[in-house]
Amino acid sequence: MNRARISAIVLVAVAFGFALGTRVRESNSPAESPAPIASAQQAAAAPSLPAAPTTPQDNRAARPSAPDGKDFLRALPSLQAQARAGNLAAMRLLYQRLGSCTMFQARSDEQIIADENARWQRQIDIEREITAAYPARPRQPPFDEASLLAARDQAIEEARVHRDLCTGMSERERETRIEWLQLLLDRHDRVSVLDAAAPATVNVRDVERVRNAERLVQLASSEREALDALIAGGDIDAITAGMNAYRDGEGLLERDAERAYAYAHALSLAGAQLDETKRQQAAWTIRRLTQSRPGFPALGAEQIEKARAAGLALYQRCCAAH
Amino acid sequence: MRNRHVGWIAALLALALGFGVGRLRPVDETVASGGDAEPALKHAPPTPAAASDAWQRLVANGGTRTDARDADAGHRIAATPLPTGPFGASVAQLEQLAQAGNAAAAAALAQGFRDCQFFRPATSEQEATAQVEDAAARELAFTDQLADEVQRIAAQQGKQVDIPRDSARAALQRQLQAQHEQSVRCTGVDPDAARNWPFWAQRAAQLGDLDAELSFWQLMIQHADVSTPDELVAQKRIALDALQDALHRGDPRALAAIGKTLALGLFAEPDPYAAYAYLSAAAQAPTADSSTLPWLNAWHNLFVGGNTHNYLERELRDLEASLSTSQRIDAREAGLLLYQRCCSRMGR
Repeated sequence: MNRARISAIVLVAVAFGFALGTRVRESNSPAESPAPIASAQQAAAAPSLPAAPTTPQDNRAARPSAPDGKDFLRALPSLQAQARAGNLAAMRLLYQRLGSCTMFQARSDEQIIADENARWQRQIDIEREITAAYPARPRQPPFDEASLLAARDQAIEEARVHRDLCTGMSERERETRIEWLQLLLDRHDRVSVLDAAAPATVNVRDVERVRNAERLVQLASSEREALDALIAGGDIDAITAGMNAYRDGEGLLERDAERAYAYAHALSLAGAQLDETKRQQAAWTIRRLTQSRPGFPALGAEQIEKARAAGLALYQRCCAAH
Repeated sequence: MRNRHVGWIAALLALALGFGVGRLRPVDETVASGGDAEPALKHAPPTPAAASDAWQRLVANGGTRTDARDADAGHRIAATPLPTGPFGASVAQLEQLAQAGNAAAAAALAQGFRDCQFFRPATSEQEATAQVEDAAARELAFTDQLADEVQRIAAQQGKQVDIPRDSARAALQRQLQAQHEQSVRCTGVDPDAARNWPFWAQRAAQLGDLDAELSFWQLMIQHADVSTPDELVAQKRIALDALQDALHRGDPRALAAIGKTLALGLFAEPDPYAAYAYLSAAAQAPTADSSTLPWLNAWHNLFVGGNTHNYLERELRDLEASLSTSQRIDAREAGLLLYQRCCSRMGR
């Protein structure tokens, strides 16, 4: 074997070895971005999650059975792997748990116990006053003293679990909730889309809000697109969520009175498919948007006409064929 | 035969070498730190230039440099003297100047409107008296609370501090005087226009008023929760340009403001190394009263001990937990360079 051939083999081997080494290192490194890159094996090795809920209410009900506190922190790598593999329940859990730590203030065990004791004592005092005023009134759960005591103990435990959860994460880790929400909205996850339209669910404030302004713009755009997709699929809850979001502007979407009117009009057109509460909400929204309040001028005739046309189109896209 | 063995052994060694280099080469911590609590850039000591680069990258990616800044117009009419009468009577003239590009006029509007935003002229003598009494009572309650707190802390440290308490009469006199001054200053001001004072603060920063340039980022944070994300995106560009312009003009306060924004992570993830370097650079400037830092309010000034040295030392101390000793030394060196580039030529 001559020198040239040896040199060539050596060069190829160095290059191959370098590529292999780089690949091994990358596969061992913790991923910064929650992009969906995990393998099926990683996802399979992770702990199981509660079944995906279908509404925000179901979602809240499912919370207690999902890992929390230190258990959540231990499960974090596998949850991230599941989420990257496209598991919506894992993405939701990550978003919710990380989001629950915004505005968090750490308390010691002693502080937690003192706070909950004080709260419990206030409730006991109120109950005793009510009993003194109405002695014949039966005392039953959740307002009897035994239930209040149990509720206090549960509140102490929950506060400890939450403290452990939030103190075990860095600010950067908490901030990744924005990226998980983006993925959920990109996948038109119904629970998250409806949740993100509700007031103050996407809680990004102060410096974090400034730093992530571009991401929030993108989230709002994805939310609008995802709401439209749900509506096109005949989802009346999505129209209600959009109506409330555009009317109040307290969620991810900004206030847009004309758009809110269009959604309310679409909802009123779907009257036969609605329950009484939704009918009342639509009527109330239309009344509110056509009345002037300080800082919120009423919609003009031309705006209402445009909004009604948009509402009709929305209704036809959503509900006419369903 | 021997040659062939040599060839394969060399190939195996090369393979192992390549693998080792690929597997173990230093990681770019800014990309792969995983967001945990490890100090930033732990394994890769940055060069002094890195701190400056961190800021310049932000400016290059986020700033506009040309947006709404008409420097020539600003300079052309900057020499125009501002009206000297009470603010309420000067608003129209100031607006005309500010719209034509006068930075000082825009800053005067921001300050004047801000001072007058809660001014409501009393409708009767009785109401005016009630306003003064109410303000005096609030002032006394606040100063009493503050004095109690100081005495409590002193007592914890085994000290006894005697703080003279103000008389109600003196507080009433002060409030009466303040009411009179505010009435002179703010009569004629439209309350809706006054509520819009941040618009003029932004305009002043865009036109190159130095104090506005140095404090616009703080205003942006204060209003972040009521600003839309679209508005914040635009404001971030203005804030970056404003700080860069102040730096370019050689004002050492810009180093402190940039350091603070890097520490907070206002424009990107917090960068403790670069923040430390910029704050160290700012500390090279002669100590001045902390009221010269326009992003600090009176309360902050009291809290930081009244001078820039104390303020900067406090900020630097807060960053120390995120940096190793060698990083701190590097960052201080970087700070010397940053100060030289920015400000030493100006003799500050």
